[in-house]
Amino acid sequence: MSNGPVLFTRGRSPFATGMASYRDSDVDAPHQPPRVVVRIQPKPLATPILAIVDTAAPWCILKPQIGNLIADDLDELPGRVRLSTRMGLIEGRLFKGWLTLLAQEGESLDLEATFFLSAQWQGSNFLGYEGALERVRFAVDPRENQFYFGETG
Amino acid sequence: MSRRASSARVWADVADPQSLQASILSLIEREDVAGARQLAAEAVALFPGHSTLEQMHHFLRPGRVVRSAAREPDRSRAFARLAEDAEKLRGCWVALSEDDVVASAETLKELLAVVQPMALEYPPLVHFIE
Repeated sequence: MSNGPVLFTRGRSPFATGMASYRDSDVDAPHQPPRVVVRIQPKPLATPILAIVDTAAPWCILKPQIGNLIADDLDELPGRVRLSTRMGLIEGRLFKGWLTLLAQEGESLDLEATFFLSAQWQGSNFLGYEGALERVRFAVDPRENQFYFGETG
Repeated sequence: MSRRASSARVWADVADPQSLQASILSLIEREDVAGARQLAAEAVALFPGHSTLEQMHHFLRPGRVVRSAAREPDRSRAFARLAEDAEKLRGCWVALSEDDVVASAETLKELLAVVQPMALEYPPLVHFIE
């Protein structure tokens, strides 16, 4: 597998330096509306997980079982916050840490990300915009189910 | 007077550190992250050395991005196997290698204990089957 750029701008400088195939549904819920489900690895978790790309979500959201394993290694924002979700208003805490956006081709990216963790959360894992993707160039090829990404510089 | 100084003067007239913290959290809850960042910066300028405000200011700065040597394999074969077995695994945490479902458990902690000694080329992907 190459480590070079995988997508170029019009001026031939790299637009994306990493690419991974994505799933367009949850593995176990194929009949839900199409989504972009990518693979990430929140540190210090030693294994990758699936997360839905959600540019409308301000933060990354992790299942409580995952959050419980990593929270002690994250920086915490003082104070509890409420987040409006499709499941209603839930209360939790914000944490800052690192996650890896994993590449199958090219290079992966380590992102300093903000996580919303709540014991009340019963949904999937989400990769949010202002909490992670705002510093990343990304593009989707829906025909090939490929997610391209790179640093904004 | 600069615009920033003017803004600080206005906040100084009406705010104390605790109310600024509450206002920052309120902006966060309204998902106005840019506003929360700006207010945190102004609050720190107004009350330098206030540990909670400095913590909030540091927390809200845009995150860093660096390239990583981590690599992820194609797991399409394992996802296909999982789709076949999903009904049997509902309510379980599962671990996927490149090719297959290699473990399942009722809790994530149990699953990680099972896969930790496995000699796999890549770390297994873990997932909860709803």
